[in-house]
Amino acid sequence: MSQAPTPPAATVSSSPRETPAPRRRRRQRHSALDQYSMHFGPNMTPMVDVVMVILIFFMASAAFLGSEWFLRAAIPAEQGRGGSPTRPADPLALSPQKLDIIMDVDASGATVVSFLQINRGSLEQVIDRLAGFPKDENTRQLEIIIKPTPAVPYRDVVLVHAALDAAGIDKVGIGVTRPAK
Amino acid sequence: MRIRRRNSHASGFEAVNATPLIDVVMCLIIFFLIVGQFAANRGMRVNLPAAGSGRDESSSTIMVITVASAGAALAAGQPATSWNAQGVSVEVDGQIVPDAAGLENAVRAQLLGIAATSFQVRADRELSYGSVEPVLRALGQGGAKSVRLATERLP
Repeated sequence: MSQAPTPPAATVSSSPRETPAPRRRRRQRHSALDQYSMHFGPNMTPMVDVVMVILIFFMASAAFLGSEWFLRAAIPAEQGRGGSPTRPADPLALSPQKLDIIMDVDASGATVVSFLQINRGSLEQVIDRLAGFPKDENTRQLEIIIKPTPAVPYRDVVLVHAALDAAGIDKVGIGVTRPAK
Repeated sequence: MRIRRRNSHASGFEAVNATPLIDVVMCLIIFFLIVGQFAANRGMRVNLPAAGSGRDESSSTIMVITVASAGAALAAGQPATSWNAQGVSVEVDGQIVPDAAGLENAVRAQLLGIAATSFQVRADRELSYGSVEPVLRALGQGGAKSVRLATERLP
């Protein structure tokens, strides 16, 4: 841009000669490459390209990964006290000192939960009680088995499980009754 | 003199230009990521229950057990199975499982191959626990020590 355009007369006068003509003409042309050679400072275009692609990459991965998550539940080998004597080395095996959360449905169809001192309380009551647990090592060591009766809605079981997870309790089992033989 | 300097500058710039390579590689990564996600989305679509807490899936080997309500499955044209008595229809990695013994065998075969398999249970939120319990029981009988209950992330 800063280069002053040469009058066309100069190009015309040098055109009969073979070799220097293209070189002279190229110098006078204001192509993108020519302008770039005059450009001062770093070239931003490739950087912007790459940054845009990275941005789209993270947006796409967040959209795919962010929609759901998982609750880990152990399946106790046996229903009732005693845990699983067959696999003592299993870190998820439920040891004898464990707490039960018993879920049932009352006459009106609402889910009732019994846990610690709460006897057939509401779902919110138990979730509030779990939220009040101190976030310490004792809580983390707790082993809890959720024992719902068949009539309990599955989503309520998941709600209680999520509340346990939020309280920092990792060792959660879901009670499965032994098949009728 | 001026032209030579400009030429050497330009050719030196081209020699280290990795931008097109990075562009193409990133596009390929995104492509395979999206294709992989679609491929991993196995089984029927179910409405997952909502949960305010949970973890991301970290295991590389997963087995997806989809538990849909029998009514929706039959309406979608799936064949009737013995699970329908419990009000559910069960798929393992997109394949219909006829009964509890079939699910047990599938779990056992998977654990024989890869012991560190993670079992994802995708159960519909409208089901009662009594419908999901036989599936969990079959998983336990097949040798699964734990399962991962898929939930929808609450905002």
